[in-house]
Amino acid sequence: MNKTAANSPPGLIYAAVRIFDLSLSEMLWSRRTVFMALVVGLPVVIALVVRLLVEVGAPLPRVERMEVTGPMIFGLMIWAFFVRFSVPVLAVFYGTSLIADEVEDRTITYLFTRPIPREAVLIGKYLAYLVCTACVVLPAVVVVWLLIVPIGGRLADSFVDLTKDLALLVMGLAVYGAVFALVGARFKRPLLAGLFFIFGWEVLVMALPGSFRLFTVAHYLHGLVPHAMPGDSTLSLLQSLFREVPSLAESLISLAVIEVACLLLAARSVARREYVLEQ
Amino acid sequence: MSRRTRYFLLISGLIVVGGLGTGLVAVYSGGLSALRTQNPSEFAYIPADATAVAYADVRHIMDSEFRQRLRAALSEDKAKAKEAFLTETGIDIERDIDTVIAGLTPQAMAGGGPVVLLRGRFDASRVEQAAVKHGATTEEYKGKRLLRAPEGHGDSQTGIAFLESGLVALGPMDRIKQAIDSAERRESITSNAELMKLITEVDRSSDAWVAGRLENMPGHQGWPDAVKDQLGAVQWFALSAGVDRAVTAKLRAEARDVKAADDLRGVVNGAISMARMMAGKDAKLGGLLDSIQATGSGTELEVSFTVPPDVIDLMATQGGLPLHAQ
Repeated sequence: MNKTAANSPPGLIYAAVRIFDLSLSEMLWSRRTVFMALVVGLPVVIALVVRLLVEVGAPLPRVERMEVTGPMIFGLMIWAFFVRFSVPVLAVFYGTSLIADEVEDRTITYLFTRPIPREAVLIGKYLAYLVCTACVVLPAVVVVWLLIVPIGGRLADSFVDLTKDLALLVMGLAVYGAVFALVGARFKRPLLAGLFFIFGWEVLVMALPGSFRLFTVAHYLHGLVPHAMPGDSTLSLLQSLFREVPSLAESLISLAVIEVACLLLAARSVARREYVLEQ
Repeated sequence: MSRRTRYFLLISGLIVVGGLGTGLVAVYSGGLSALRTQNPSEFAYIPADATAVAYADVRHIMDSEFRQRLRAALSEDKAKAKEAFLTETGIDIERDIDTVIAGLTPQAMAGGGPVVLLRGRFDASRVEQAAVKHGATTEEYKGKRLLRAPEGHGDSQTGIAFLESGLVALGPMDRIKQAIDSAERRESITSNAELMKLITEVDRSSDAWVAGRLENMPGHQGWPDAVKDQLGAVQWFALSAGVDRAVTAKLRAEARDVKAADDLRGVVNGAISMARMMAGKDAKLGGLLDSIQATGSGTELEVSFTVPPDVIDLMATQGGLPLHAQ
């Protein structure tokens, strides 16, 4: 190895991988993981209880006088617990803290004084977030599937849907994570802004007619949900009246654009912004 | 990366891979067809002795440009009939239904008609209220809610059954109960290997298709003897259609032997030639007839044709043609 090469700063990808390696353990064994375990553990516990009840002979619930089967319950759980709740909530808590935590702990200086591109810090941490959350969410979904689907259904029949669901959730984590990474890099109180986005903005505009829904992530994720949405509540009825589910291609392209754009803007923001550490 | 992080990732990966592996084993051991064909769950309600199955993607057809043109040409009577159906059943044909599937059994053809399975978004309470208001009575059969129409007697009465969430059945009560029994006993059409083979060969991406044995099709008994003789040679048939701006259809038929197939091809080609002569200088009708292709070899016959949008307009201006059959 010559001297010049040895002294030159590492490239973006190498630096991002190093940051990923450092951040993954830190992220995985933080207090947030307890919160994450609770969020994704709840559907697993519910699935276990439902399965046990069915095994001891309890009758299956009925909706609109029709027996609810395992695949239907699984579809409902994917929709209600994971797509609509776990994914955005985990993304907002982890995504907004990628940079904010380093600022709050006043450790960002140590990262920025390393001879690596600043963008690599955000990209490495984003990848660590993605691996960390996917490694908790995906096994939970698989366990729920194994417990619930055999109740009045066949694993073989819903296997294709499971693979779609797993891909959908990874995509949701990736896109929401990129959006909240941008929020975390730009805003002073990113958690509040993130919570407002998922529980205020997205809920409101998804229930209203018009084109505002195009400015949500949920709208495009809906286009990927392979299961029928539950239709037994007033909110669902409203949503079904105004729902215009985008096509698969439209959803995939839009989600990819949102993710790349948000990640680039967040990386640019981290590279240019002067972080003032409060005393 | 610390050792416990590596273990965590390993365990997490093993759970996902284990789950996917279990799913794959389940697919290969019991339902390879589930991956390959993705039969609609409605098939469970079609009895095994069905001789033909018809399917329509109502949602796509209703949204198609073809349908919009057809709608403009619809008679007022048909529009009123649609309104009457909505009033009596609480089901809006244009908005609530996604797909329709019907299995034709010999008993159904003998009288009363088949059970029609509608997949879509149905407000069970609204449907029940509308039906009860028009004199229907409610009953339960093997855990399914049934609405019995006031007209007719016993099980020949027509009715509606809520089979699953988003799936209702319409038809004679005895056939509906037969459909529920078929699903319960798992003696559905999926065990009819001969018909299922034909169904798997149909272009399943098409918007509408029907496949089965011709002798049991509705109205067959009333056909002229000459037509019956020719069609008697057809053992199986499959008709599929794509509906968008135009309608593209393909009919595949299998004759009982090569000679019967040759005769049938001759009749079809002769009929097309005669129709061309009769069409004369009519460019639009000529275009439709030019699109008809009759091919095939051995015992197989294949006829494809396209109905361009202009022909819809032509039919509308001439009025009364099959156009008015919704």
